[in-house]
Amino acid sequence: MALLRKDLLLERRAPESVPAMLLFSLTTFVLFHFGLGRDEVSGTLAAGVLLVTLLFSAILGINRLFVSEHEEGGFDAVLMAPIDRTAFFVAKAAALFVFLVLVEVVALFGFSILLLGPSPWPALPGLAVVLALLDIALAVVGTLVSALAIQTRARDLIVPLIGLPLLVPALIAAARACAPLFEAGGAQAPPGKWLLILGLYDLVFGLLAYAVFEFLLED
Amino acid sequence: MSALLAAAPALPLHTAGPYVAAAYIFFLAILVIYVAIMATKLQRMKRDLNDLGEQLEARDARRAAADEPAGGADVAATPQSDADAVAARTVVKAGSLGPGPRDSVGELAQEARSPEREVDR
Amino acid sequence: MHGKGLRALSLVTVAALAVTFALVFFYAPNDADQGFIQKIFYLHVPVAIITLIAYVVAGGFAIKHLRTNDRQWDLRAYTTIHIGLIFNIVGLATGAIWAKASWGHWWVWDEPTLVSFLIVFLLFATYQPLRFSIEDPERQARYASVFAIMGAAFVPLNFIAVRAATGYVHPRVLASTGGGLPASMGLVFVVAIVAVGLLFTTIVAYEIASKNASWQLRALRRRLLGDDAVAPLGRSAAPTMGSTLESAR
Repeated sequence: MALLRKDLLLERRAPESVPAMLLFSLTTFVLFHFGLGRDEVSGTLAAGVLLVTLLFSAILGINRLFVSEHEEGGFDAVLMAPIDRTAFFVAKAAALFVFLVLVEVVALFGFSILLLGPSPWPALPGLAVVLALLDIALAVVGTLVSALAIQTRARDLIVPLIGLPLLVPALIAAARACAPLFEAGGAQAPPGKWLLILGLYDLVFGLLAYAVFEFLLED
Repeated sequence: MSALLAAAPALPLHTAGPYVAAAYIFFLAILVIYVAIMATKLQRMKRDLNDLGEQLEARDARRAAADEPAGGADVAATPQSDADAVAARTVVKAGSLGPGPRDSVGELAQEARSPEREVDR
Repeated sequence: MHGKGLRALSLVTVAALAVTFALVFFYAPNDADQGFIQKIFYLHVPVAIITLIAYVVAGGFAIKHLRTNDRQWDLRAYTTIHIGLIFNIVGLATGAIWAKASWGHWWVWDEPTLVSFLIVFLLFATYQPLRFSIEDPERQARYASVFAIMGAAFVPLNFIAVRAATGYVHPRVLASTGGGLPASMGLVFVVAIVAVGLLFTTIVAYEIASKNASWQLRALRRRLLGDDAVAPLGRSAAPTMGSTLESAR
């Protein structure tokens, strides 16, 4: 818990990841507007635009996740301190989760103003569920990939290279679940099948991360 | 499956033949390339082994030449180390198929090792 | 596997492949709907199945490696993924050829096996760059094992997601072997899977024997001729042993 507070405090004092992720998201929406040549999107297209943007902006945050530890030799400090490795992982994943939620709140606002055709309000509860499940996936897999990449020579290459394919199933499920929410004819509930698959993804990678994370810290 | 197959009508042999041939030939080509790569590796290994054997023989010859003037005490050692050299080669050959007679390799290496050379990694 | 075991395995593999090809072209009947083009099925699908199994098995090896800290398990995982990638490419290429012949396009998005196969390929293709970017051999092995375990869990998850996304009107390979196929086709298919599996095992066994042999050679050279005789190891994606005979075992 203290570890999580430290990460959040650090981000509040010297905001780095969250503003960058946000700016990136908004810029990407503008790019999509011109790239697609559309003023408004709805349905599968809206879900795709929103989720791909969020995924890429998450990659930015994942890239930076362990940077402070790495630069300040913080890994050693964590390893020396009598802190459970799992607690360290949970704190990091929770920090990433909070960042993602913050980014999404603002990005969603921007998205509904800039690009989204139908009104976002009826979609909001369903969207909250889907995004929460997606954020768990991003936080868990992101923390693992970030820890994997931080000690390599090409950190900024390794994260997207490994992270994006790993997250493909989560993106498929989230995009399919979101698509009915953005239907032009009015929001429909996200299909349970996709929430289930997303939840399964969270569960499998959550357990996996719990099992293997300590091997990434050992020295 | 049947729905999709219905949409994909049976191709006559002269159309389908080249595709099937292409797929199988691709598979076999990859296999042949793999065998070629393996052969190159094996050749390089064999060359290294020959090289190692030659160097070992040269070293033993030098040693024998150096020992000669010192007297007959070491004469018995010369054939012994020759035998070792031969043993080393045969052992390594067997080793190329896997770490079969490891212990003899280990012992031999132990014997050949002088303390200052012992640098692990 | 060494010496005689390897030879026996090679012979069995060659025989199995020969029998498979003979069965495919001279025994299996032409598919009633697809005709001759369906013969690709006996190559493409077994290769795909063996590849996916290989990735999962590599994850098992990686777990073993983390548990025992024995570098041989890392070597096994590395080799399995390495050869798996090659099989993966073969699977993608034969799948593309099949798609082109049957449906007129080199790529079809509504074939879940093919699509998930591509995604799995994209993931495992990063295995080598990951290894290459970590210099310390011990850490390289450990991180690579973590990656391999993640990859092994990813394979079925990915398949579920892609399959669910493509709906149910499309060929379901596993189901089609049971119900849809005549018994003679099913038999040939099973033989083909066994043959491709044997081929995979043989290549992996060769690769492992070769790696071990070159490690031993290197260690021997160092012991006999001194450190100067051994060129320093470059940065490598392949697992490296400490150049001592003990660790090469």
